[in-house]
Amino acid sequence: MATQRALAELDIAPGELRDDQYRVDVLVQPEPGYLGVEGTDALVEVTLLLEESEFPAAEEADAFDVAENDEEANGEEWIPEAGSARLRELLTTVMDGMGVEGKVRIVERADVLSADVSGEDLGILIGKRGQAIDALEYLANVILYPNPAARKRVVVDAEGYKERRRQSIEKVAVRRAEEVVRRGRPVQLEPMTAAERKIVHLVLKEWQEVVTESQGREPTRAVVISPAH
Amino acid sequence: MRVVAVEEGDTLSLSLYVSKDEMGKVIGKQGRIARALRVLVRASAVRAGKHAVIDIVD
Repeated sequence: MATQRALAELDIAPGELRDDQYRVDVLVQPEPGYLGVEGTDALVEVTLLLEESEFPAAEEADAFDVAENDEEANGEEWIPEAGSARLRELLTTVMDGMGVEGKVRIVERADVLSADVSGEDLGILIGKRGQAIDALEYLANVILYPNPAARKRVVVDAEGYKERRRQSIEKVAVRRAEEVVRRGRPVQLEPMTAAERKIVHLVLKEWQEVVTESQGREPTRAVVISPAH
Repeated sequence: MRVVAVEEGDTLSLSLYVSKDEMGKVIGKQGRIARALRVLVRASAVRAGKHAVIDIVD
């Protein structure tokens, strides 16, 4: 049980890993329940033993799973400020931590808060295929607007990277979709990140002649474009 | 939340000590927040020539 929960915390579905792809160290043995008193789950440490190519997001990541009670959290309130000021503070803190220098420009609208970072050397901030900037954008959304009922969409870009990526992926998607229509046969695109796949789905949404679907597992999950029947 | 950093050779291990109540806030649905944190921390470590590992502990 504890192992299952630890794997779930690492975003791994039951059965997704072979037994030789992770190691379980039992730190505390489980105790069975007794006369209606609930037992305690084991405390385990799960270590993923994967190559980077197999699971880039969590290689060698460790998770603990404990079933004991801990002391209460001290409920510190985040005092809400203007979204743009908070986003600026978050981004400059992260950039300082990463050793990235750049200027942050923020535009706040009714439903969108968008930031663009400009600077000399933003490769690290963008990451491999935009993974770092996508992660930063996701975290900014969660941190600034934890309450989904009263939120704005937060967009974080660096030197217009996302716009360039969107344009090039749209171009590829349209070209391959034309090929599908012409040949009447499905094609599979290169593996893409979730954000990249979404661009493909969106640009082909209006196409009556084709349907799109993502297939496979991360990190080789890819969009398949098929003729519509 | 308490963060303990241990540096060993070129590996930087960060342990995030989180209370059980707030575990969900740090890990997120399907581990999305934890995953985003790992991506970002690993990207930061690259420049310093380090390999970063994050543990989330309650």
